Amino acid sequence: MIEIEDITKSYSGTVVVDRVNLSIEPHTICVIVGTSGSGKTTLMRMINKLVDPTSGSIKIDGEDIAGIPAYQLRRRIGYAIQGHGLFPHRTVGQNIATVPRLLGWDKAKIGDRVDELLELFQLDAAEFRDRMPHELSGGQQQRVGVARALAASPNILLMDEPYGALDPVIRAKAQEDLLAIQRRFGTTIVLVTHDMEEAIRLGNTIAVMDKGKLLQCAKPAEVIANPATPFVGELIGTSERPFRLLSLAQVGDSIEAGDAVGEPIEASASLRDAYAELLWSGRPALPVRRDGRIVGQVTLDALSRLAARPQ
Amino acid sequence: MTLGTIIRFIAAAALLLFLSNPEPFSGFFSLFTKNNQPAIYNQGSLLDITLNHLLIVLAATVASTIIAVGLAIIVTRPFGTEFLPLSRSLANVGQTFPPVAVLALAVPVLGFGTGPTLVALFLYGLLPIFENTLTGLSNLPPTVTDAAKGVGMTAKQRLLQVELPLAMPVILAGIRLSVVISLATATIGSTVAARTLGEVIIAGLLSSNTAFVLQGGLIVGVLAVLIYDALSALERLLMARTGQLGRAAA
Repeated sequence: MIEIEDITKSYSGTVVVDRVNLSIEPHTICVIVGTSGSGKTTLMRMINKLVDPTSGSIKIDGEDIAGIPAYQLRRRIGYAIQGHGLFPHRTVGQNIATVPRLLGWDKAKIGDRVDELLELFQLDAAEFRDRMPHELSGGQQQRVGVARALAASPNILLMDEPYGALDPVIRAKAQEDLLAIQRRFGTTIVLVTHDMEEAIRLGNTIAVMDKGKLLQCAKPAEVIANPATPFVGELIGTSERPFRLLSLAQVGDSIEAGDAVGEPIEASASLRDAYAELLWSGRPALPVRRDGRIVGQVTLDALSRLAARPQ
Repeated sequence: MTLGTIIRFIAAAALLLFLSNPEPFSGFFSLFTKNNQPAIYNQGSLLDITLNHLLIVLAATVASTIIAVGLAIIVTRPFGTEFLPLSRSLANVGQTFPPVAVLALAVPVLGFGTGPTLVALFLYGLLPIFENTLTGLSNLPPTVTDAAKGVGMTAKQRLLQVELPLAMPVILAGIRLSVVISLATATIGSTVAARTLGEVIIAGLLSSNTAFVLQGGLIVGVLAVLIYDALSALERLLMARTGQLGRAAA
């Protein structure tokens, strides 16, 4: 549980973060969205004391972080940034081992942990452990950056535009991996992005910031249906609203009985994908497949109702 | 092996041969003598003089490196930023003061011999190392320094494990400049009786023996080129190992 209470940061009179209150439930992903200069990164960097607040307090599991030495606090919190920030003079293995080494784990335990994380991020341990960061592709560097952040199994992971430098295909894959890892370890993730699409895709809650103020903090469906201010609505994009709403649910949640014909869609696909497929193939209904078996259908009518503004 | 490497190898071999046994080269150097002057320097072993020359340069460079790198580290820490202008002007003074003047001023205090030369070389070597260390420590990739903080390294751990290793190629370039300047400047130390290769050159000048001047000059020149190249190669190696070759070119 991260409780941010009435926090303000100003630099020589300019207020960057303005009296923000935000609490982040454990084991959830909270995405802070805003344009550049909105104060979103500053807000996040106050959680691991990379920025000292001008006033206000932050508590982690009830403990005020003001009383914890910064370096000790940071070793307990994973930190992954855009452009990965890997140490260029250290191998992939040494990079991942950074925090465990700072914490004084013994060598064998560190080695096992490095290999475990490499496998978790689908990098062959024997092949990648001794490579240098500059020998890796952008996507691989990014994965190593997140692996380093997770090395000491932190309860909290802070991510600053982690996928900003990746191309759309690799980004989608990285987002999927992050969701899988979050489900597996239950890590509380605070992620900063300017991309509303990414926020809706990843966030259990979305916190929208503008000019240092927190405008709205709510579940994605709520932010889409009832934006708190016109600015939030603008970030969502009025013409995108129905599709963003559909992208929140899976086909499996809206199965009806029926025997539609043609190419089936997977139950794990998003309703948005199903809707696109319905429109594209000109069919009124699609068969739904789960574990290789047809389990029902999803209809254009049902999706049109679901895409409408919630009453 | 490139042509350059072959030439360097031959030069190094010739230098070593000449220093260990100069007699076979007397035929060549006698071309530059008049009136049966000796062709090879005869007032001491060239090898000893060369080693002493190198030793003085080494001692002065080690001292400059310790002080200059130390100063640069201090002024790049949060508590030391106020001293940045002061230390910059100190290092600049060291560089602007002509070594001959330093020698002249140091002799009354330190007496004749190696002392004044060491002082002059030390002062003269400070600036390149200081400026390069400053550049190296203040131009680190911001994402890397941010990450070093973010993972929970203390200030000391950041300096020793991230900042200095990444700045090392640039620091080394400063040391290289300083060494080459000192190698040449050390020769004038012989005017105040320091035992350097300047002694050979001065002896030649006093007796109008071009062969001596040539010997002293060639040894210093070849040493400077070889040491410069060796340190450059070391820098490139460090750059490549830390994945910074692209950064250096940019």
